[in-house]
Amino acid sequence: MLGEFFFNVTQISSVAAQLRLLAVTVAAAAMIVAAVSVTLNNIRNIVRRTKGQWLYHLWCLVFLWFWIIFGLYSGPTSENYLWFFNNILAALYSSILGILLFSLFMGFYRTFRVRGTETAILTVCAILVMLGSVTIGELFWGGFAPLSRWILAVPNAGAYRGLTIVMAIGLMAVAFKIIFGMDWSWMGVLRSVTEKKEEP
Amino acid sequence: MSTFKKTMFRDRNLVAWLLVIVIAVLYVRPIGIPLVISPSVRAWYTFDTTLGPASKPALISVDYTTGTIPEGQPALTVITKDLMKRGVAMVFVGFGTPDATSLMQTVFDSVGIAKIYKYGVNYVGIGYIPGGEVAIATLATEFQNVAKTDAYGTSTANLQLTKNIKNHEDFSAVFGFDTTNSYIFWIRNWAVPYKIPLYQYITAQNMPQIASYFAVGQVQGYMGGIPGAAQYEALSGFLGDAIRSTDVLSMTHIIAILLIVGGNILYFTRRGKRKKG
Repeated sequence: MLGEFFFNVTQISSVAAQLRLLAVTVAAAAMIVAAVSVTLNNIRNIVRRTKGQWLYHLWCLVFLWFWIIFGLYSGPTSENYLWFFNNILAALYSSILGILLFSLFMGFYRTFRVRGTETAILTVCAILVMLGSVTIGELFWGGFAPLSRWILAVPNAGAYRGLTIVMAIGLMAVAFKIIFGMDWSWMGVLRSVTEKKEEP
Repeated sequence: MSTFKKTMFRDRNLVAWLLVIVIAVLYVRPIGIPLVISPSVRAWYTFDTTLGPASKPALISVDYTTGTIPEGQPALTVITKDLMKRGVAMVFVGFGTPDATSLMQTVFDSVGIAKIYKYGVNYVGIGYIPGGEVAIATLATEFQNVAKTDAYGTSTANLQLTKNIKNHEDFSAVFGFDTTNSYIFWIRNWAVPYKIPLYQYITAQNMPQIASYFAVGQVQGYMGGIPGAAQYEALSGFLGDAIRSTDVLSMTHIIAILLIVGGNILYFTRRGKRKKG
């Protein structure tokens, strides 16, 4: 795929395209592996009767396979499946995220406590962006929205670009280590080759 | 101050109840705070006004999760309605979550797309495609190989709308609805290499990130959270759930700011007392 990026050769592009299609297929198969793995893990805990947990594992297992069988039988676009999806799954998911709101609010006045210059800048920026992002801010002062946009587009964008570039360079370094066999942790080998060499 | 501190900042239930009451009251009786349209939403709407029945189909990616339906669905609903009004053909895909197929179908049912559009001719629902970034990248060059069948099991080669789609060149734009950070994959694999117009809905928490891509034109427009969707609803005239939620969002933000300010006042008061003591 690196070759495809740098050279315009039909054969290389064809191999790269096949590799990409293979990756899509592997990703689909990975979902089966995940379902099996979750099932085995839950069965293990149910068999061991893990104290205070095994009932939850049983509950998880029942619902996991209920959704799998029901989904395979009726299809994810059927009326029955959508009824369960919207009235159970979607409602539960949204409720969990809704509950997080309360935790967030409890954390607000602790997180944004002005202890120094950095936290003061963070708090002021947070308040300005909040007021600029919601409609009520405009009622207080018309400058909140432009100021918020400036914070997002100039200092924030600059910092984010810096972080993104640094992360990309870091990823390239990791990729090169893997390609040249200097790191085997992705294969489940915990220590890298270079570390092994250092051993007495 | 001590009583205030005890009740407001130590009794967590009071803050929770305050939130519940504010949210409930404003849902029942909205104040109707006027909306200000941001340049990023206006850019999206302006682009949509250039589309019509003769345009190439729009690729719509449903990448929000089931938990973020209250945020993502109003945005997808208003865009679908607006594109339907303009007669734009649409191809729906999803890469962020396997629930994308059901989320897509829920929107089809809620906007009544089948009453106005003909399936396979004006719109096609491919649904979830596994593979994340690799699948998004492959879709740009080999549409037929990645999206072999639609969500109902029909081959895309047999559908009038999709049978001639080969790659990115056959789409007018990508409209992403994302709460799973998939937007970065669209930027990397569609917007930058092929210069495909990319318009993204993202959650409000992702606005600081996407703003940097909007500033340099890699994303042509974006909607940030409920306020973004509400602005599009106001522009298009399809008023819905987003505009109903803006008052709630505004007031909860005000409570958050008051808590931050109140917390800091208490902190400094306590610190002053300690220094004196």
